[in-house]
Amino acid sequence: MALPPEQIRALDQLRQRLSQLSQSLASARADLERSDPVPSWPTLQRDAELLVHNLNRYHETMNEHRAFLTAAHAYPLPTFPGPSQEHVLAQLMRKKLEPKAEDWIAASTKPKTRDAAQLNGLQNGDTSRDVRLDREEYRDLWKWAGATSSGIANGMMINDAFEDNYTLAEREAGVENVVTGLKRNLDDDSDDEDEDGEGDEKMQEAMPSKPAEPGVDASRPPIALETLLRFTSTGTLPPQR
Amino acid sequence: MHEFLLYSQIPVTRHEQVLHILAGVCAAQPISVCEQHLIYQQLKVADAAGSKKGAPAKHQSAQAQRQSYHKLVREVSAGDGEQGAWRFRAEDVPQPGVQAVISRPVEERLLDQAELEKFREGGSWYRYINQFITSTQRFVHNNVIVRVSRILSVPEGTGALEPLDAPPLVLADCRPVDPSGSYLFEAYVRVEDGTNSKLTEQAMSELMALKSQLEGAVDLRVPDRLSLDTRVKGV
Repeated sequence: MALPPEQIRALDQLRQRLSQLSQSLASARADLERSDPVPSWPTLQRDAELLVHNLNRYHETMNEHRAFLTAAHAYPLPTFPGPSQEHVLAQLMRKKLEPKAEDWIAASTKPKTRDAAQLNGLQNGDTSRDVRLDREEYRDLWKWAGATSSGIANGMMINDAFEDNYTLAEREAGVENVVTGLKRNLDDDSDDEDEDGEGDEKMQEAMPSKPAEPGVDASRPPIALETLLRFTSTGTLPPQR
Repeated sequence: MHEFLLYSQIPVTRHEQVLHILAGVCAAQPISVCEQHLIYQQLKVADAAGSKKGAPAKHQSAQAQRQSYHKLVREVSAGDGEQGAWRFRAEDVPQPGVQAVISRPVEERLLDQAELEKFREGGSWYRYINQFITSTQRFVHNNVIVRVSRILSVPEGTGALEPLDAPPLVLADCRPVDPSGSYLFEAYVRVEDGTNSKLTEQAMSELMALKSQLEGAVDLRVPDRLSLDTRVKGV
């Protein structure tokens, strides 16, 4: 009658994982419901990470004891207080999932229909048909999508769109309006080849060219910092200048 | 007010580069400021200096007992000759014993018309000595202000009549004081209360942080303290 200890341990482990998972779900839910204003992004992310982590551990445990768990059957002992705990008993003895859970599984495993895709804001190529996609149609879709997208990408490669300093959208809207923060003229098709040689000169050209300054002779040694500071403090320069 | 300063000199060939480096460090482009500085020598001190200075903390310092050079500073715009109001600026001798930076009390305030009269020719308070123009690129990094300026001397005879009423200077006529055209690099933090050690410590640490950040690009150093001496000698 009694289960071997490792199986009991497996059940115990599973129970622990489930209780952790349900706890973190409950606390995340409570956070969302109660806190005002809505929790910050980092908090939500941390909650979600915790949930995923707990789900993963639950999943691992399930996988680890898969053989035992699929073979296991629940049956009530005569000592089980059936009349008073009828609800629990019914749940334990149930072989099928609850109708709610079944609906939920069906809804989330079926392929996206047009409505669902639109709800999610997805607009991929083949959503015009409002029938559910079967395996065959998926294959067609991917076959078509792969070829088409690589065709588009090839076209962009040929046009040097990837090498361009502006996106296609920016080109269409007019390059003049793009705020790059740079004053240098980027729209220069010839600068690909001579990047090394001429690049520096171009930079210098684009910089505000300084007019030759009168009274400046860069070849002369600078006067000492102290002398300069003495001048700014007292207004006099040493005579040996 | 109290200032903590570090200095450096930038040769004209490196000026552009240093401006670019600073723009990167400060994540902002510089502001161009052009200022005219008139240097005046005090003719009277004692009570007069005390009442003028307004900051009671300075009365005890030796500075107040001696005649000093004070400055009038105003912004001038290079293009249209527009001029700001005159500001009075008195720099104390840098404190001895502070090795890492230049540390000095400074007084700076706007002058009203009545006070300005004291600086006019023939008054018994001040004598005009000289003037210079600073053409500055100013950056701000945290609480550190960085000024990269060229100090320009005015054409001969500019201040001969009445420097306060002189017509706007033509910047094109001004020549760099340093014939090599090098730029003066000042990094400084200003603290309202120089006796608040928490503030001064933070000011010092921010200045030193900038110094170590700029190491290799701009080597900031402490000049001879007495080169910033503003006391009048030989009186």
